[in-house]
Amino acid sequence: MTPTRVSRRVWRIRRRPVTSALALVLALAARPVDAQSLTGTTGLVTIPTARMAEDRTLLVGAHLVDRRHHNSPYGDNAAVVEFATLGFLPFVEVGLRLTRVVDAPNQGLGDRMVSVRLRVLEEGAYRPAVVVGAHDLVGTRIYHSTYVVASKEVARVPVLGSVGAHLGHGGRWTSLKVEGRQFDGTFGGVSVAPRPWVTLLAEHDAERLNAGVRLRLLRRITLLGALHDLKDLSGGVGYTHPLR
Amino acid sequence: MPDRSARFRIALAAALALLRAAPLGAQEDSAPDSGLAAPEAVEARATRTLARAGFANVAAAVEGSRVVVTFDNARYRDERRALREAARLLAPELGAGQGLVLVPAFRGVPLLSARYDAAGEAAEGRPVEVSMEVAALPAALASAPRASVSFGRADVVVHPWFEARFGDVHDAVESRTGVAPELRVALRRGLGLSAQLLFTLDDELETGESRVRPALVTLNQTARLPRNVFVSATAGAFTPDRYGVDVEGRAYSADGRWSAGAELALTGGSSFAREGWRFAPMRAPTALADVAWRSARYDLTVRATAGAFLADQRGVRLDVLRQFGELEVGWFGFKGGEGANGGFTLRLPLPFTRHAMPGPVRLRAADAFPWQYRYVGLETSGRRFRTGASLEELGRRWNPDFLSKTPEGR
Repeated sequence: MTPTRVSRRVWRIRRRPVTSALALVLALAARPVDAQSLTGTTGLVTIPTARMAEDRTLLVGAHLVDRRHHNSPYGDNAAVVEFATLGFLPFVEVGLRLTRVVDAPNQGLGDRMVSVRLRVLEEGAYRPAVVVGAHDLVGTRIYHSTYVVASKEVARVPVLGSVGAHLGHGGRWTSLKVEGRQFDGTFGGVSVAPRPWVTLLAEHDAERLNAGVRLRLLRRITLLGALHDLKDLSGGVGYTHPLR
Repeated sequence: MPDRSARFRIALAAALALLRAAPLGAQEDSAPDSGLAAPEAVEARATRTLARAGFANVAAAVEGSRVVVTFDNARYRDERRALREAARLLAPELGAGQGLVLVPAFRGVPLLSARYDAAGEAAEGRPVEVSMEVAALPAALASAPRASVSFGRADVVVHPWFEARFGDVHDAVESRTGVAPELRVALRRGLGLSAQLLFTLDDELETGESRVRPALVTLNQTARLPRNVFVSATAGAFTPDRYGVDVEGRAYSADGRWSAGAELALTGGSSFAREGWRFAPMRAPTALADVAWRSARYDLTVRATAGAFLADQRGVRLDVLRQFGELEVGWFGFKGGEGANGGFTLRLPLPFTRHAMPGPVRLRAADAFPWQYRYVGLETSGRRFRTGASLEELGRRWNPDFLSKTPEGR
């Protein structure tokens, strides 16, 4: 870029600080938003997809989940879900999640959940990526789930941008004693990213319909806003950190 | 692909090497008709160069067309950087057609060898081969005079201390936080003394122990045997709250990807309260055997350990650990007679990538903070103790595959 062009751009930025700052933030978002669902694994609003955390990447964040939808037995208030998800290998994602009901007594640290997801098929030109996952394998197993999910993304769809279709099925494939289950049955959803920094989400989590929007800011920050059952608001923030 | 500045540095180092070799050939310390500097002069220069850069126990020997240099990394937090810096510093000392073999050591005990066939490779820090094999090294290296000898020097290594207990319904996180300076003295080849004090800053664990108390107090001898076998024997006070003797052996394949280890220990519980040190009888045996495999592509180590853990828990433990550069993240699962357990391990690099120059007494930060989260905290759930001298950990950080990559992961 020539000095003249640079000075013109600087001049424009000074003239319109708010719109320029917004444009800068959005321009720094480099790719479609694949990030963590409210449950901490890579997915849509709540359901897991066959997208994975990138290899050598740590994602941390916190979500506030509406009181009617966190399924924790510790109380009736909203719950804070804190998570750390690691792209442990290019085909393995592992996650830790802590679910704490706001102002609930006698819950200790909260419910701890471990998730492991393994990509068994990489996405090709015509075939979807396939991931098998298991959530909450140890402890009280309030959020136990074992599933297989497939995802296929079609880029450069006119008007819609990048479109992803996700279909999964959760089954009772372990003999573990569990206190609760998630994604028990067929689930699926659609993600539409008209711009690299915004993704619109719609899903059925095997029980109800949910919708949401995800924004990526400054490459590493993700905001998620969601409507459980199309009426109850949940959402939060995530941060992506590459590990070298 | 190296960027432009890297290519420029390589070309400059190669040119310097050629320039140095040519005039030295005409000097009185040059070997007749060889065009190379006299071996003694090269050895002296190589030794001096690394010693001045802060490496310890430096010795060099010239054999044929290769210069072999051994050293202890006393300067850098990252072993890959230490190896790269040593190669880069020695590249200008190489004559035309001369190769370099670096032999990193631990308290003078050779760990592995890294071969660079030309000055350009050394300047770039890209070894042609890194191997656990050191048998083919010149015999003169063992008897060569050492520069910057570390024996008798004291390092005061400041460790952060954090231990926590989770899950109490009334107090979700109970922790003990403190600072634990460790006096570390290398006494002779392979022999080291460690004495650590824990200064507790905040204690919610209610152990009844003194706020200032000894932590690791050990005497360790590490040695290398033929066929890439290492042994380590440690006696003293271990963490958490144990004392006794521990003997560990580990054999490596030449490429470092496979290893098998065994550990035998006899320990007892200990605590340090106001009335002083209290010891339970030393009756708890630990007998473990393990086999480990390392994936070079992913810097991933998978290790299966079986035997008698603490509290006479016979069981099997599976560890899967990945090195993200200096950061290590691992997962483990344990199945024993009294149930199963799982958790994760972390090794977080701490600030200061380079330590001060070695001296009679040196204050420096610890390289890393290791931490382990166990879902079940009971002693009967596959618990182990730390002696501060793990061969497995040493071999992971000084692994041929790991060292073949630059710190940027290329």
